[in-house]
Amino acid sequence: MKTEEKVFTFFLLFIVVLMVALTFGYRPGARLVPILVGVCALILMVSLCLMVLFQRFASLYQRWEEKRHMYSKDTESEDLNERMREAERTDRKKERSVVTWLLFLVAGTYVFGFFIAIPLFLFLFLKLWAHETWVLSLSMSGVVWGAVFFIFAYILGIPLHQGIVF
Amino acid sequence: MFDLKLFVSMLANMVGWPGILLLISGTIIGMIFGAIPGLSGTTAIVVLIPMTFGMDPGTAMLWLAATYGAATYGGAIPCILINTPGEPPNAATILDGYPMAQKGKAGMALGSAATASTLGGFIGLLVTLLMIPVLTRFLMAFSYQEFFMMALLGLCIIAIVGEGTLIKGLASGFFGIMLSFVGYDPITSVLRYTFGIQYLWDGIPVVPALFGLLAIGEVMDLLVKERAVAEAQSARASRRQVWAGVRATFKNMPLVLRSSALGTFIGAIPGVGGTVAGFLSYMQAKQTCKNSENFGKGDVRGVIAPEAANDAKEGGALLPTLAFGIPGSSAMAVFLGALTLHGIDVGQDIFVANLDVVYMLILAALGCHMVAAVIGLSVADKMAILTRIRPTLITPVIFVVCLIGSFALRNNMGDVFVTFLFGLLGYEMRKFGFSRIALILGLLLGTMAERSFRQALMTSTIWRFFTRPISLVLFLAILAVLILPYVRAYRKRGDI
Repeated sequence: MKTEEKVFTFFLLFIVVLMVALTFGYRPGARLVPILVGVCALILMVSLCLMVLFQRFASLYQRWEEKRHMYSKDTESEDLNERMREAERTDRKKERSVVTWLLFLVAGTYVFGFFIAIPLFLFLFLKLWAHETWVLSLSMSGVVWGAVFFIFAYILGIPLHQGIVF
Repeated sequence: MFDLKLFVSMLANMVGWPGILLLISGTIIGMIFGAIPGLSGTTAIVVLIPMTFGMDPGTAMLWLAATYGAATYGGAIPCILINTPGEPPNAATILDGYPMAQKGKAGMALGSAATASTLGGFIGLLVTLLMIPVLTRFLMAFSYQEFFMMALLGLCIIAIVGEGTLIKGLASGFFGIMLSFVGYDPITSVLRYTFGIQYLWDGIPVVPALFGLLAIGEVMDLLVKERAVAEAQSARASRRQVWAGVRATFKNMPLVLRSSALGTFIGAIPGVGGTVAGFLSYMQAKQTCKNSENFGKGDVRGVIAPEAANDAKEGGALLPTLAFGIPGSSAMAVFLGALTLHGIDVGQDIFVANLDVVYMLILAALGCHMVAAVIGLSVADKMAILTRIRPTLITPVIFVVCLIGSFALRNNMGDVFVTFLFGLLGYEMRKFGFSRIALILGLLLGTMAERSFRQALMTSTIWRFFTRPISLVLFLAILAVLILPYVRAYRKRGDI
C-alpha cells in the first residue's frame, strides 16, 4: 500500500514537474498563469512526496490536520484513516482484473466498434467474471445492446464508432 | 408592463390541448435526457427543434422549455444513484447525494432533490421577473475583473470540500487547474502541453474526464470490493423516505431561498456557468448552516442547496438571453437558435412584440417543474432500488453507458480513451484519499480564471481588481470564505 501510494504521488509530481518545465518554453503571456499555478502545485506535490517518504513529515502534518478539525469535531481524519485501512485490504488481483476488463471494453470498442464490443463485453463479463447464468448474461447483453442502439443510433442518429476493422 | 389577460390566455393554452401533452411529454423527455450520462437538456432541445418547425412559436417554446427545464432535475438522479453527474453543473449534488445513497437514503435524497429543484425553479423565475430592471443594470457592470473573482470564488471550494486531507485537496485542485491549461492558450492561441497530439488542441474534454473520475473510478471500487452502492445494513428506500426528503426541504426553506437567489444571480451572468452556481451554493450552505461537519457525509442540506441553485440559475439565464440576446450557457445558445428559427427577435423588443412567447416560456418552465416533481416523487423509491442491485450486474452497464455517453458528446473515440484514463486516475485518487471533486473544479474553472485574469490585465492594471466595487465585494467574499471558518473555530475555543 505504502509503495503504491509512493508510486502514485511521484507519478503526479512527475506530471507537474514536466508541465512546469515545459511552461518556460512558452511566450511570456502564455506562461504567466501556468507558472503561478504550477509553482503552487509543485510545492504541494513535493510536500506530499516528503510525507509519503518520511514518517516525520507525515506525523507533523497529521498533528496540524487534527488541530484543524479539533474544534468542529470533524471526523474527516478518522474517515481517511478508515479509507486507508480499507485500501490496504484491497484485493490486488481483483483490481488488476477489473482494469483488464475495462481495457478490453475500450480496446474492443476501438477495434470492433460499439455494436459488437458492447454485447460481447457484457456477455463475457457477466458469464466469466460474475459467474451469472447463461440466460441472465445473454438477456442482459441483448437488452443493453437494444437500448444503446435504440437511443443513440435510432433516436439521436449518432454515428457510433464502427471499429477500425470494418 | 404585465399583461394579465395575455398571461391567463397563455396559461389556458398550456393546460389545454395539446399544450398539456407537450408539457408532460417534454418533461419526461427532459428528465430522461438529463438522467442519461452524456446526454443533457441541450441535446434534448437539439433533437426536438426539427420537430417544432410545424408548430407556432408559443407551442414550440412550451415544448422546448419544458424539456430543458426538466433535464436539470433529471441530472440529479445519476449523481445520487451512481455518483455520475449528467452534466458538470450537477456535480455539486454528488458531494452529499451519493453518500446519502451509500447510507441507504437514496429515496430521501431524490425526494429532497425533486422538491428543491421545483422550489428553486419557481423562485428563480419569479426573482428574474421581479428583478428585470435591477438585474439588467447590475449585469452591465460585470467585466473581466468580476469574472475572475467569480472563478476564484468557485475555486475556493477546493479548500472546503471534505474528501481527504486539506493538502491533498489543494494538490488535486492545483493539478486540475494545470490540466485545464492543456490546449490552445485562450488569448495568444499558443499550443500548450499538447505533446504534438492534435486531439489535445482543444484541451482536455471536461465531461469525459468527469465520467471517468467520478463514475468509472467509483464503479471500479464497487466491483473490487464487491458491494452495492447502498450499505447492506442500511434501510430500504420507501415512500416514507421520499416524503422525509420533501419535508426536509421545506424545513430548510431559508437555505432554499438563499441558494435559489444565489443561483438566479449567477445564472444571469453570461459566461460564469452553471457549475459555479452549484458549488457556490454548496459552499454557502456549508458556511452558514449549523452542524456543518456533516456536509460531505450524506447531509440532506448538501443536496438541497446545489439542486435549488441549479434550477434557479435557469431562470436567471433566461434574462440575458431574452433581453440582450447573450446566451449564458450552451443550452441558452441553442434556445436562442430555436427562437430565431421561429422568427422571434430577441432583445428588449421581445418584451413588447413577443410577450406571448415570453409568458409561455415562463409558464412552461414553471409547469415542467411541477410535472417533474410529481413524476420524480412518484418514482423515487423505485429508482432507489438501483443502489441495492449487486455490483456485478450494474457496474458493466455503467461502464458501457459512460463510454458511449462520452463518445456521443463529440463523436470522438479520443473521448472514450480520456474517460478510461481518468477512470484509472479517479480510482487511484479515491484509494489514496485525493479529492476528485477538487480536481474537477480546477479543470472546470481554471480556463475561465486564466482567461478573465489575462483579459483584465490587458485592459487595465492589477489594482482594478480592488477598485471596481463588485470585484472588491467578491474579493472580500473570497477572504471571508477562507478565513471565517478559522475565526469561528478559534472563537469557539475562546482564543479571541
